[in-house]
Amino acid sequence: MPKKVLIVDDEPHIVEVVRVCLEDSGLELMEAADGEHALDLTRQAHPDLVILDVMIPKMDGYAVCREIKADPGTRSIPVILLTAKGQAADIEEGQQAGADSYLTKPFSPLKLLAEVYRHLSLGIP
Amino acid sequence: MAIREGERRSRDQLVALYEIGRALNSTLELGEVLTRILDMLLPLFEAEAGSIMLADEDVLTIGAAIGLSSEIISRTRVKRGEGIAGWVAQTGELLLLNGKVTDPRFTHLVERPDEITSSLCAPLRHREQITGVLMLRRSEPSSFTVDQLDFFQSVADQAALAIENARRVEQVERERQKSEAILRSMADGVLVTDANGLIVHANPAALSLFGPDLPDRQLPGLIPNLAYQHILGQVARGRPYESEVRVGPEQLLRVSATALGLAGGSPEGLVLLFHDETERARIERMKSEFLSMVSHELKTPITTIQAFLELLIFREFAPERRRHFLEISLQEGRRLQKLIEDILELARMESGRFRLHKTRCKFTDLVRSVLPGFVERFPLHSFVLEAGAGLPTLEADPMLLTQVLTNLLSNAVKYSPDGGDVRVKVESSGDRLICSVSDQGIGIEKDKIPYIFEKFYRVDNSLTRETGGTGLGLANARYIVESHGGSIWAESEPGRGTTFTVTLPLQTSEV
Repeated sequence: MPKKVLIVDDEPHIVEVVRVCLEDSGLELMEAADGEHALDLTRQAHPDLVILDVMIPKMDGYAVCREIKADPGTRSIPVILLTAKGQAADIEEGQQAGADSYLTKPFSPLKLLAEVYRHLSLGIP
Repeated sequence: MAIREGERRSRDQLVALYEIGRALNSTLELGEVLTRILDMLLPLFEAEAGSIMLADEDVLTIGAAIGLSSEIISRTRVKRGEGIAGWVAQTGELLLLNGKVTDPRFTHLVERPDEITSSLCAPLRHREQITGVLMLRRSEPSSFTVDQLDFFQSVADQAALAIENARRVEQVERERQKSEAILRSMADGVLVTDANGLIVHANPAALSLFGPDLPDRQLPGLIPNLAYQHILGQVARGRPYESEVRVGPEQLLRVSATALGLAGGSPEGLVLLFHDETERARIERMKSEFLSMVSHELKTPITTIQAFLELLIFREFAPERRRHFLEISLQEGRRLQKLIEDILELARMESGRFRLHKTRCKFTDLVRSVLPGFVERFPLHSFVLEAGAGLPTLEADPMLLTQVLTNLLSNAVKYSPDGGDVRVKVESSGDRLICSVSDQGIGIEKDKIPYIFEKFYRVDNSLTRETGGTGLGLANARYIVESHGGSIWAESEPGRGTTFTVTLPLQTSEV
C-alpha cells in the first residue's frame, strides 16, 4: 500500500508544484486548502506525512499542527511546516507547535523531497 | 520738659511702628497692605492725602492712593527721574517739600493740586533696590517738619518690607496658578502621591485615564501592572524610573516616576507621568503587519516560479508539461509585477505625493472601454450597462478611474464564481455622479464589510488566489476615489450579491 502525504496550501500553484515534486515517489497525494479541512482529513484518512502551510484560512498552520500533535490518534504523523514566515520567532513557534521540520518559502523542491523521504524512512530519492 | 516731650514722642512712635508692623503682617494681599499703610499713616502724620507708587523696571505706577481720583490712579505712569516721585525713586533720597514747588529738579509734576503745599516723600527699599515711593501731602496752614523725617523713613522701611512680603506671596500664588495651568493643559497624565502612596494630586488628563475618583485613593493597586514597591526603591536611590504598562486590554502607557523631594534620603512622595502610547503602538503594529504581509505576498509567486524552474532544470518532462509549468511561472511573474506596482501605487497615494492627471471625460465612455474585455473573458457572466442619456462630463483622471472600474468588475466576477448578471449603473444626482457595480455572487457578511477596503484583507483566500488578486485593489480604489473628492462603499447580502457604489463630484460648468 502506498504511503499517503497530505499537502495543505491555499495557493493552487504551490500545491501543484509540490505535487509535481513528489509525483515519481509512488506516494498517494491528498490536498486541503484550509486548516479545518486539513485537520478533518488528517483524522479521517490518517496520512503518513503532512506538508503544512502556516497562513491558511479558517485555522492557521500552527494551530493545525498543535491539534495533530495533541491528538493521540494523529500525534505520530510527521508534520513539515512549509511557509513564507521565516523569522526566528516564527520558526520557534513552529517548533513549539510540535512540527518535525520547518522549511521556508521559497523552497527547493529537491530539499523538500529529501525531507519527505527522511520522514517516511524511504531510500534516498 | 522738652526732653519729656521728646521721650513721649519716641514712645508713641515706637508703639505706632509696632502697630503698623502688626497690622501689615496680618494680611498678605498686596492691595490691602497698601491701603492699610495709607490708612494708618495719614492720621499719624496728620496728612490729607497720600499715595504709594510701585516701581516696575523704569516706570512707577500708583499702587494705592487716598485723595486722588481713580482715573488719575489708573492713568499715572512716571518714569524714574521724572517729577517728585521719579526723583526720589532715582536718587533714593528722603524729601520734604514746603510751599509752591519750583525746584527745577522736579521738572515733571504729577497732579499736584494748588492747595497742597507740603509733601513728605520716602523711597521704599528692598535689598538696596528702590521698589517704590511713599508720599504724604498736607495743605496749609501747618507744614511737615524736618524732625518727622527719620520716623517717616522708619515707617517707609516697615511698609517696604510688608509690600515685599505681599508681592512675594502674590508671585508664589501666580507661579502656583501657572503650574496648575500647565498641569491642566498637559496631554500627559500626572499623579502626585504622598509617602504612603496616597494620591494627593491628579491632573485632568490623569482623571480621564484612570477615572474621576482618583484623589484620596491609593496608588498601589490602582494600576495592577505597576510595580509600586519597585518604583519606590528605584527613585529612593535617586534613579529615574521609566517603563511601559498595559492598562486594560487596549491601552499602553509609558510611565516615568520621580521622587517628590528627598528629605533625609526617603521621598516625600512620587510624581508619576503617564504618556499614552496606544496610538503609536497601534501604528507600529500596523506597519510591521503590513511589512510582514507584503513580504508574504511577494514570496508566494516567487516560491512557485523558483520551484518550477528548479524542477525544470533537474528533471525531464514531456514538452507539453514543460510548457504548462513555464506558463504558470510566467503568470506568477506577472502577478509579482502587478503586486509590486500596486504596493508602489498605494505607497505613493498614501504619501500624498501623487498627482491626478485630470481631463474632461465621460464616465460611460470609461465603462464602455473596459466592458468588452470582461465580456470576452467571462462567458459565464452577462454584463449590463444602465446609463441615462445626457450625463454630464467629469473632470477626472481617466486612467485611474478606469483602474477603479476594472477592479470593481474583477471583484464582481471573482465573487460570483457561478456566473450571473454584473450590472453597471451610471446616473447623476445633483452635483454627484453615481456609479454602482452589482453582482449576484456569494456576497459579503455584514461584519466583514468595514474591512474590505483595508490592505491585503481578503474575505476568502481560496477564491482570490486562483484569479491572482493582490489584496490591494480595493484599498487603491478607495484612495483614487477619495482623491477625486468622491466616496466608495459596499452593500451586500450574503448569498444574493454585492453592490459597490462610487460617487464623484460633477463639474457643472461647460468647457
